[in-house]
Amino acid sequence: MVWNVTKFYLLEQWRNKWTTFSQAMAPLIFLIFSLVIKNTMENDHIVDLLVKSQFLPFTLLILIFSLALSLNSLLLSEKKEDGTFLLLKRTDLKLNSYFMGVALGIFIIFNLFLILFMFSYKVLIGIDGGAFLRICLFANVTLLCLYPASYILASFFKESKKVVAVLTPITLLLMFSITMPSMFAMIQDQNPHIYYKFLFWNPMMIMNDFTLLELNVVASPWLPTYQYLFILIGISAVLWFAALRMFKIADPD
Amino acid sequence: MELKINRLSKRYGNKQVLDDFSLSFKSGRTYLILGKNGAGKSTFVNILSGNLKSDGGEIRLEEGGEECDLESNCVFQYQSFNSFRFLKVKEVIRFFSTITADAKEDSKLYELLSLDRIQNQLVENLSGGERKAVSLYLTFLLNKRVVVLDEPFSELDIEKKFLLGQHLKEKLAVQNVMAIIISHEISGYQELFSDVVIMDNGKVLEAGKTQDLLDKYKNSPFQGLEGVFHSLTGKYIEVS
Repeated sequence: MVWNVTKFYLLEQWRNKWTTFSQAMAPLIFLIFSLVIKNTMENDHIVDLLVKSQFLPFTLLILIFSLALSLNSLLLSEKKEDGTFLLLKRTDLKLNSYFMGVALGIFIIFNLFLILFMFSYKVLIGIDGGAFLRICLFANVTLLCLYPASYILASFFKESKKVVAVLTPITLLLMFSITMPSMFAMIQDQNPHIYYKFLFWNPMMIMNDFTLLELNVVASPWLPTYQYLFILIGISAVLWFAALRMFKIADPD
Repeated sequence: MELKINRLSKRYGNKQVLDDFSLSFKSGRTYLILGKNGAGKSTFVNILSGNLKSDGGEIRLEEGGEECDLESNCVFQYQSFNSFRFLKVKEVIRFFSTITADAKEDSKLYELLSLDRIQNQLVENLSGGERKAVSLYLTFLLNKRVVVLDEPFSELDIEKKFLLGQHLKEKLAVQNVMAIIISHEISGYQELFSDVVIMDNGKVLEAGKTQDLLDKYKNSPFQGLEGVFHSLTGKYIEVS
């Protein structure tokens, strides 16, 4: 049943390919900028640093955000609106199987994009095979951690249009909470890690720090990887708990 | 199997849309719920489907005195089908067939609803009538013992309405289904309904066997169920 749901979900996404590809547009822009600076700037060291510290991590973070939050919360709110869940409840498909099937579909789409982007960056700046694999694995863990937040988001809004409206400030919050402290730290000539204790709740910060470590941009991470994994598991557990309590398959009028 | 509705009530602000609504529905019978817009028909169906909470009252499905699960025995045909917009009609049907253990294909209904003509079209590109046809087909595909249809005949052409009425009558009788149909379209379908429930202002004004009501209100200035409705409410039902 789960695989059946995944197959039909992927088929629907393929037919609705512009919506799916639009999720990869922002990461693609970062990749294009990387290509441009690689071909226009002469100082290879600075190019490598820029790509490794800014463009590549942001490609990954936005891709995770788009697939974990944006794509699924839009789907959930649309399905609530059009009564799909109520109809599915009348079949022998358990809704949990439906949600797992969709999640599997999203993971497949995410990994296709992820490998494509990572491979492009590998060609561009050269990424060690081990680092390539570890970054991909960690990106999947971060996606899994953030994924339940899409159910929470879809719980708050009855209409998919409202979900779209609220996604922008959430993006800004999750993304700028990483760049801003780095900028403040740079101005004060300090290590950005001093601000990380205020950002432990943000899986994007963890993903960013891990990526920078793997790409040898920073010498040491704020916390060891196993502690990052514990935090991600903790955040995921809290989000799943909230999602299970909040998400309803239909909003009573 | 019997569906018992006991003192159901629902209020929106100051408006009482369902007021002490009590009824009983039995298997093998086809019920028409007739009322003007705002009579409370859709509110009743929404509560029955679990899409809306009632303020009070009880809904109970029984078989041989034992309570049965309403959710697993009941299916609702919604006025329009907007789900799975980027799947083709045949793919939607295949999907629902694979996730329903007792799915029952009906080639005659498929043909009657002209699904063979639109089977390769995406749901996204279907007209209102075509979406309605898909919704109706899926309702019967799920093969449940209680079927609730909301305006099944609207947006269908005259010939299809007639043929569909005939087919549903045979189908519902053979399968011993309890069918509850909300429809304004009663002209020409009288024979389909074994029982009629007349609603107005959230209340049941009259409920009984179609023929009994026709006999009881035979002196109405209008013929058939329109006449019954007019005698009870003093209003005209909009027949399409």
